[in-house]
Amino acid sequence: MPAGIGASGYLALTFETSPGTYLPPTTAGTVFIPILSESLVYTEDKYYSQAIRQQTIDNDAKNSYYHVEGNVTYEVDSKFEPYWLYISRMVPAKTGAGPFTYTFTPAATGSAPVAGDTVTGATNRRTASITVIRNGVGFGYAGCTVGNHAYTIEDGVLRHSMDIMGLSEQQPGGLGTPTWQTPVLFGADAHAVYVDTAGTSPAFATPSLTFNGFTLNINDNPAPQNRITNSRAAQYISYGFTDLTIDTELDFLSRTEYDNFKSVVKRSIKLESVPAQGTFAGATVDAFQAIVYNSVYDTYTVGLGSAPDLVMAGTTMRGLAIAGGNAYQIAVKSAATIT
Amino acid sequence: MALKVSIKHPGFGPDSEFEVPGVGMVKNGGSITLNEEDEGRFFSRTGMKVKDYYKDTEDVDVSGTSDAKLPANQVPAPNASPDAVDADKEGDS
Repeated sequence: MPAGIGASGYLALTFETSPGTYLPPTTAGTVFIPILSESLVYTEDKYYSQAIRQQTIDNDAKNSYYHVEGNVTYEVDSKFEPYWLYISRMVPAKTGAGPFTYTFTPAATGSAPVAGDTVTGATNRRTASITVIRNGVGFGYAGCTVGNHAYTIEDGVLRHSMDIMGLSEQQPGGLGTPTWQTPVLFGADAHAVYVDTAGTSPAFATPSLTFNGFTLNINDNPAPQNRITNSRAAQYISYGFTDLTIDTELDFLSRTEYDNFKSVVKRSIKLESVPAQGTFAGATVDAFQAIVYNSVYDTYTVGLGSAPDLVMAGTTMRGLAIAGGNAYQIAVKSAATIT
Repeated sequence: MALKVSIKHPGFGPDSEFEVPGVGMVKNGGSITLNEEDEGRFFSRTGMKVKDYYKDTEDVDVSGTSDAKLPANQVPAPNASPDAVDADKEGDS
């Protein structure tokens, strides 16, 4: 086979009907998602025997436990975003008659779905088989879940970078035949950031004009769990404590936000991304919204970096729980029909 | 008789339009008819007959009988690059 380049590859995502049981991309309902990059890998700590037998080098190697992990980054497209969020540590909900509004709020579960869990219906979390074709060669990863999300506006376009963990790898029997849909990206005229007092239903009346960059990171600290069975694959993916942060740089115009940092003032933050300067409420499809209902400045640094530089404040906000509500919510208006 | 390529993806609504590579744009639940010339063009791009190329997916169905006199599949690499969609070709329904 001749050498290949990344552009000729593709990624397929198939919801599993039994968590951890691999389904190839020939399966009905498989979605072929345009990505910017992926780095999913079979991850194993091999055992190297250092038995003492008059040799100063490892004597033998044995397979050990393994799992799958890596990153997938793509340009957020409302058609596909719900698929990634369904395989996350979030409670899904679906409303409307099509196009649908999918909302995702944090789940307190300690693991991704395991064999025996119900993974059908619009209100249940899922696991996915992810198949990557690299230079015509298929790699199938089963029991995949997204454990860490980073939404970033880069060059004006909203991207979603995901750290994915899976249970096992197999060689797919069939590679599927991709079909593609016209992309709908969220560009520079789509985004607005709002800041309001922390609460379960902030008004978010006026967009902020001082955000230079935006990265929302939701890290559920996943970890593969291998057990003593007759399988080397991971048995499930556990979740840890959730770290939620928003990183940005703000125009430094007054002491107000600095004082808010020092006095631990709690704020809610919303990112809305809707093409052509629309609003999430007014859109019927192709709209994205992320709300953090309660947060404080974790860091706020301002300095005179150099003579020609603007005076900016580098900040990290840290998400908190809120009484009577959810710490965060991600909502997508989408043409996807997940049932 | 001609070939009819249909797509029915359960994960998207009827307004969703799909690029079926080498064939054309088809609305979900709809189909597109390929004549002899279309089939020949598809073969020259992929080295495979349409039916064979799409036999590995449940969401795309190819029915009917081919009119084209084509040689045996050249069978390039597995899942040969699908090439660009035929921009002039639109779905029947």
